[in-house]
Order: sequence, then C-alpha cells, then structure tokens
Amino acid sequence: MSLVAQTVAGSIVSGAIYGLVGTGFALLFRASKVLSFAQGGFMLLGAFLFYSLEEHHHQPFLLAVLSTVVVVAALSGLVYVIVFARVAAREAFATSVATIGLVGVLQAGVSIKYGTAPLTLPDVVSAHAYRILGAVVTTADFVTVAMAAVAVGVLLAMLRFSPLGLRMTAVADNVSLSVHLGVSAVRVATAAWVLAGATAALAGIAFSLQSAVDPIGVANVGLLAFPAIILGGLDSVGGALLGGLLLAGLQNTVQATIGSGWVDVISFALMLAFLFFRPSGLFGKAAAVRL
Amino acid sequence: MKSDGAVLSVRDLEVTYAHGSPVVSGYSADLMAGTVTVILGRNGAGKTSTLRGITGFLAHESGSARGTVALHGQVVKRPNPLRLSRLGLGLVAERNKVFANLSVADQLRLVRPARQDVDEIFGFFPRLRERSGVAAGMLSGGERQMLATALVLLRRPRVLLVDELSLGLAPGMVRELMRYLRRLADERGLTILAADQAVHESLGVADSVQVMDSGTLVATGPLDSLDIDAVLDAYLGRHER
Repeated sequence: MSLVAQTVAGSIVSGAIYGLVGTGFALLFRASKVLSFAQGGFMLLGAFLFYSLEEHHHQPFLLAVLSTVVVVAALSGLVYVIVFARVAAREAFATSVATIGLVGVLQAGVSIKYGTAPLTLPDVVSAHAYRILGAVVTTADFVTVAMAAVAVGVLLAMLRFSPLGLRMTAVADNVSLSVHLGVSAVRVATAAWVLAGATAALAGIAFSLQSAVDPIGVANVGLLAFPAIILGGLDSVGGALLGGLLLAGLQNTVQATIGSGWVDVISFALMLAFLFFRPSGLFGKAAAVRL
Repeated sequence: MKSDGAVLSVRDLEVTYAHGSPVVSGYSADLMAGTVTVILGRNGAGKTSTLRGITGFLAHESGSARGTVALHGQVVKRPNPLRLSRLGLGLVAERNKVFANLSVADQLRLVRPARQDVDEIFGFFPRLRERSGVAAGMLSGGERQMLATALVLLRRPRVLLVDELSLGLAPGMVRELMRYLRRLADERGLTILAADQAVHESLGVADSVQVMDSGTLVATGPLDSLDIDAVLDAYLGRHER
C-alpha cells in the first residue's frame, strides 16, 4: 500500500517538474511555432543561478527564487530579441534548430564557471518530511508542486483573461492575420520567451531541490519532458502539466513494476504512438472548422 | 500626384509573380469618398492581384508591385499592409481572414478592446451579436464575411478593399452583404473598391464599374454612363455571350 502511495506522490512531484518545462515549450510553440530545445539550457541556468544565490550570497529562499526567475526570464527574452527575432521572422524550423546551438552555449557557459560535477544545494528548505496516506512527502516536494501549480495557474489565467493572452491566442491561430490587424507578432513572441524563461528557471530550481545541481541531469530533463509535451498537446499550457503528471505516473509505475531500464523506452514509445495516432495530444487544439 | 480630390489614387500599377510576365499592368484609378467601385472580371483576370498589389500584400507570394498608390493625395512610400492599414486603407482578403479558433467577440476585442467599439459593430451586424460566443470556424460563410469585414472596420479605415465577398455564397446572402457595403459608403463615407464575380448583385450597389480582362482594364466609368449590356459583354467576353 505504501509503495502505491509513494509511487503516486513521486509521480506528482516529477510530473510538476515536467509540467513546468512543458508549459514553456507550449507557450513558445503557440507564439511562434518554434519547438525550443533551449528550455533545458535555461533550466540549467536557473539551477546554477539559484545555487549561487543560496551558496555564495545566502539569500532568503523566496528572494532567491524571485531573483532567479526574473534574471532567467529577462535573459530568455533578450536572447529572442537579439538572436532569434530575425531568424523567427523567416522560419520557425530554422529557429528550432538554432535553439539546439543555444543549449550548447548555455551548457558551456555554466561548465566554465561551475565545472561539470554535480553540486549540492545548501539546506534551503526544511528537511522535515510528512507521512501522508502512507507516502513520505518532503517540504521540497510541497515547494515543487506549489511552484508548478502557481505558475500554471497564473499562465492559464493570463491566457484566458488578459489582453496579452488574447494576442498570444490570436498569433497561435493565424500570425499573418494578427499582424494585418495591428498585433505585433515580435512583441507577443518576446513575451512568450520571457514567460518560458521564467517557467524554465522554476523547473531548474525544482529539479535542484529534488536531486542535485547537476549540469547533465538538469539539461536532460529538457529532453525527457518531450513525451509529456506531445502527450499533453504541443500548444496546450494546461495540457503540458497534465501530460507531465501522466508521463511521470507511467514512468514511476514502469520503474516499480518492470524495472528502471524500461522507463525511457516506454516513455518515448508512447510519444511515437501519440505522434502517429493523435499528433495534437490529449489536450491540444484541433482546428475547429465547419466544412 | 494629381488626383482631383480622390481618396485613393492608383497610377500604372503592375503586378508580377516570381519573375513571370505581369498579371496586372497599367491599372489606374481615382476613387472618391463615399463611393462603391466594383471590379468585374473572370477568374484569372487580375482582380485579386490588383487589390493585393495596391495593399502590398504580395511579399509572401514572391510577388512584386510597381506603380504609385496615394491616399488623400499623399503618395505612400513602400506600401505594405500594416503601413497602409495605419494610413486608413483596409483589405478584406479573399481567404485566411478570420481566426478559426477564437470566438467572434474575442477577435473583435483583439482589434479594439473598448466595449463601445465592439457594441457599435454588433449594432451594424446584428447577426454577429447573436453569434458572439461562437468560434469563427463554426460560422456560416456569410457570417464569416461579416466578421472579416467587421475586423477590418475596427481599424477605422477610410478606404475598404474587398476581395470576392460573394465567394461560395447563395445569391440572397450576397445581396445582403452588398447592401452592407452600400451602407458603409452612404452612412460612414467609406470609399469602397470591391472585386467580385457576382455581376448583378455587385452592380446593384455600385457607383462605378471597372472591367478587367487579362490583367488590364477594358472598360471603366460611372455605372449610369455605361451601357450595362456592353459591360456584361466585355466582362463575359467572347465565350459566354
């Protein structure tokens, strides 16, 4: 019984991290049809910036989270404006490929400054653990899930109720018509990169709270989250979180029953199955057109 | 540019796609405030290319336009859709002109967030008010044309170019849409240039007619100065009449 409870609890925590990475992917895809491989890179940057603020500058937890999110979000927006705005105007595919180069640059930058060995965060949250329905849940687990819930909730509210959200939805629907009607596609894409940077930073912090500040592991989560994004639907922010939870549930179940060697195989097989049979994912929007 | 008080003046427009021969050549026109001008012509006569050439809507199709476009006597330098839209010229395009996944009300709010602007549009197109919560992809063809026109109207144009308003619609709906164009000219003083294949319905609301064949104007003038049968002969050409 406690194995089941622990698997469920673990899935919610891992799913929250996948969800944070995935929401950034979904925002960028909606705004510019760009599949950004750079999310893992910004996650890495967030993890190390947070580590530095805690280890070297001893900032209070909330202030460190806020500073990390603001810096990574601003950097992500800046990279878009300086590097990608011109490429994106021509070709979403070219931008997607160019983001692979950006991950390399971010990874190299971090390893020059911090080395390649995993680092351990100081005790930034209470080490206290709680027993809930037979599962052991740590304070870091609560913090991770809360960060994902708040971030996704704020983003969904923004998309649904704010003028920026309406512009983002319009650009996702028809970019050339949006521009013709006076919407600046570059401003909308910049906002998407800023918000995606913020969610990547939160994902990096959450991952570091759960394991270590590990340059390889953190950047890999950016890739391992792909099945979650395909599962949820590439253009659905809420779907990214639900896809993350479903993927984590599947992975933890496979690990507990068949063995950890099968986790990646089954995850990516599921992704391929979705790409073949339901490319819009569980929650992605299939265009509503009356024939 | 000499235009004698015209709101929109076009001189010697030439439109070419991907280094081919011109699909429109020598198109010139002076359109006055509050008038409806209809461009008639068969498929491929160059009607759509003329409208896209005037608005500079050719970049995505490897097309290019030469000639001069002036609004209120001022020549527009390097015309492109956004610049012309800001200067008061709007195009209701033939395709790809509504957001399929956004509700009617949401896309109107996108262009003008103020409630009174959206209410005014609903007052003009009551059917859009009835369908305000529906995604545009689920609207009928006529409702989609109304929405597309409404979206451009919210940009407060002085000149409205309309491409194939009648495409795929029943004659009754075409007449209703044409009456809307007439009202926009009469009630709001808009200058309207509409390319259409629905001859009788569009002539029913027009002040002036331009007939195109093989990329050039073959007849042009105020409706009451032209012999309609001769216009239809020229329009339908050697084949159908």
